[in-house]
Amino acid sequence: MITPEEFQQAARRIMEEVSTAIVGQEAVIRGVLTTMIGGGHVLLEGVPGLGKTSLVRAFAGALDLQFGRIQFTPDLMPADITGTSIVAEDELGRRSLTFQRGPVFANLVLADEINRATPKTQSALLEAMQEGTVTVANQSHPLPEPFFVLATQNPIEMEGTYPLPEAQLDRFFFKLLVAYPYRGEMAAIVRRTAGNEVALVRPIAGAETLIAMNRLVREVPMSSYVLDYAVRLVLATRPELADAPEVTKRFVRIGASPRGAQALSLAGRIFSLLDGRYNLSYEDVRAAVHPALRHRIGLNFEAETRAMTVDAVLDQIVTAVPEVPR
Amino acid sequence: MGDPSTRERMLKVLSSPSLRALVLDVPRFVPPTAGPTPAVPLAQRLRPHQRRLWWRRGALVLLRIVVLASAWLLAINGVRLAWLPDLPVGVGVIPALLLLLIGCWLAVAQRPTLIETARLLDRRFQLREQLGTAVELSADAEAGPLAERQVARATALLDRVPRRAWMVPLLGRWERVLVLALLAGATVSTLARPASETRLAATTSLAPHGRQRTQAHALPMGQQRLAARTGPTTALPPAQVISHARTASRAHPLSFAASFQMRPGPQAQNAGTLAMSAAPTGPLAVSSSRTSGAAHAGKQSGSVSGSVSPASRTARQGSGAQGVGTGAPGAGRQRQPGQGGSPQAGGSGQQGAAGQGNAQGNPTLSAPQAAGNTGVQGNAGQPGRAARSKQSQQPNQGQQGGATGGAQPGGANPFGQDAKNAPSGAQAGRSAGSSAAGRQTGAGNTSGRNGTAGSSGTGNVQAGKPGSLSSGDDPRTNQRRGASGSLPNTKSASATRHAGPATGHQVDLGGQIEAGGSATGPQIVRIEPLGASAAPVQAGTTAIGPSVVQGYVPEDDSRISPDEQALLRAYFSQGSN
Repeated sequence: MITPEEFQQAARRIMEEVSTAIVGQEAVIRGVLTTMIGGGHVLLEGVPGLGKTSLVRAFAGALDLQFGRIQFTPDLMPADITGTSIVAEDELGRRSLTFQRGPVFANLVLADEINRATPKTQSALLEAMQEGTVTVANQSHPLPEPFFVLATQNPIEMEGTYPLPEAQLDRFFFKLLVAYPYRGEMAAIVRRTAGNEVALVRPIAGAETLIAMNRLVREVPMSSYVLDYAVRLVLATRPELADAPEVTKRFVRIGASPRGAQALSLAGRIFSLLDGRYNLSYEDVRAAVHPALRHRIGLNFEAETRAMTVDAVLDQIVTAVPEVPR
Repeated sequence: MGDPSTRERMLKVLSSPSLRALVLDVPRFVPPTAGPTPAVPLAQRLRPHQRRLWWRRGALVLLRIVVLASAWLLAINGVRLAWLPDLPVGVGVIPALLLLLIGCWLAVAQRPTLIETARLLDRRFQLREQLGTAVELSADAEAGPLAERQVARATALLDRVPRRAWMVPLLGRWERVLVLALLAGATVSTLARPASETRLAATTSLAPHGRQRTQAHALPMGQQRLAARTGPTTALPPAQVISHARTASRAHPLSFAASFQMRPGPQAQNAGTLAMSAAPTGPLAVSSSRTSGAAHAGKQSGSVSGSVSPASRTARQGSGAQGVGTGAPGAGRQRQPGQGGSPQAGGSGQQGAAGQGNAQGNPTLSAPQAAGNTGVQGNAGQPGRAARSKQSQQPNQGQQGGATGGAQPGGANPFGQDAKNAPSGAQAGRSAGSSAAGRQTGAGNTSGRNGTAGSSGTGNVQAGKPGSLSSGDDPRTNQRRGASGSLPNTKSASATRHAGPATGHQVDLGGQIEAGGSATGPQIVRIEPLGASAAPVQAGTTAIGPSVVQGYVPEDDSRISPDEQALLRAYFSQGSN
């Protein structure tokens, strides 16, 4: 097991290495790394051209992971993701059904524009993301460890797309919003990509490092009252509860699942280690609220009519839930 | 509270900055349950903070309770001062004291646990829950290596936390101002008396050696009641003495002798005894405050007293005479305390004082029986003698200085007999005048002599003219009834006399003070049972009598105890007889 200092140092080096290929987007980089340390999957949402695919590629290069890329299209079939059994002939001419692995069999899978595939195809990832296995023809095939799915989706051009179902969304550890770069960042992007020099991402850590970091994170202690705070935050997103905040009852259609609380505590502990501490704090929990819960709650029609965003609702929920229960 | 919006609004108000100081730390009102026991090093470093936090919480709770108690006192005293003057002070004070007791208990019960202390330190110094987590972890024997690190780090952090973390000011500037203002208001309002009572503070008197203190403003409200007493007033505690009468009383008018002030001279050379009395026939003596100077051995003494003593028929006069007399040293009779208004008027003569007693007494007293007193009191300003009041317990000894003799019969009927008595008052005035000349000396013989009290003193005598120096009008009969010298101010004939420098004290002879109603507004008067009591005499005093004030005590006044009412009725019935 690595020490917290080694953890902090490794994480810092990974982020610095990724930053050689990605200009700006520190929060996204930190979020992606947190997701990967936590062993989860991340959904990146942003308009085209913001470097989402490049980001995933940079992580794959920095972590020296096996990389797989799937471009989701409406005609994409599940077998195109998971693989399929085909008839193969051996050297002796004997034919047999052989499982041909799909692109999901990689450490780091880029599911590009995941919302363009049909729900049937999208659900092909459910088992892989949750169980780490793929079942084809009644035969389960384990995925390599670590296994991360980094999916991207375009919030515009929604025609011809299939929004991810709730069950699919809930399996993402984080949902990160990739924002437009600032003025200086954009100039740096242009400068870096307009020349002949191509930024190369060196491998800094391997799969073992990520696994060790994941184990260390689970050793981080959390006090009972901070854990209670995380749980109360998640419960505050459920409109059917009597003590839910007013904003929840008014704008939220469906609240977060227990996976949300798991994500909050795990992400908070990663944040604390990245911050050089060994304990989960209220601030760590609050820092994880938006990426961990924004894709786990659904807004109702009134929220849409009032142009309420999920992040705005979450802000009000965080405000409404005190650290010390009354 | 069921409405979430209402609840949120209340919480918003409670969390406003102005109230934040008082809501700080959210003290609990039940003792906390025991939390996890941290490791020894961690606990040792937390305990000082725990104690300080305990103090802070206790102080906060006490502060809140004090604010609450002050607000309560302020409110209840406001009601008392404004509308319910008879409301006992204890109604406000006792609950406030109970509140303080509860506050003390709550302050003790606010002892924080170690985990609570750690969490509050985390919050105060933004330690991101490191201490609280460490306290929890240190109680867990199966904690991992990271937990051990966390405990060690928390212990090190505690060494850097300032010990005076909780000694910050509890309140901001405006909160302090608010609290202090509440405290001051509560204190002042508790000590204050209703406006009508404060007028009573004009009175009176000290015992010869400063033992007895003026009553009116020293007494709590609840004791300022009219209470009839039968004993000598000097034997009564001052607390029972005071009450205030209503203006424009409905029933029998009573003229009360106002207070006298004896101004002592530096040397007790001159003695003058000034006694004024109006003695209605009833057992209740209504008198003004009397002043008397204590006699000093071998010196002349002067005393001034005024009383209305229903028990005595003989002495009823308000005399404000100034007795200036000289007599043989030692010949006179000193007034003794307990003689209850013994009218040693003109004590000079009787006492044989050698010097000139200058008693400026504003005689007082016009008994309700108006006429009687008025006529009788014509002796105001008798030189060489003071008008003397009758002695309450010695009715026949009530000597009337100068004119008093004639007063006796006339003053018997307090009701509307003024006219009849007027002549006698006049006569009394004359006799007073004559006696004022210093013809008579009856050294030591004070009782029963009319007009003999004066010694050979040389005093300016202004014999009261009957009726002309009447003290006031009877609001009921609209008749002038005051005798000379009974006017409430120094206009009376007895105003000034000189007897040399006088020393002495104000003497409180007891009695009750009533703010009687008159045409000129509430005045200070005294009601005294059974006549004037003998006040200690102090030598060398000068009586500066403010006045005779007319007041009216309604016979059926509900504030008067049944005994008092009975006394009043008996008094008036006798007078009418």
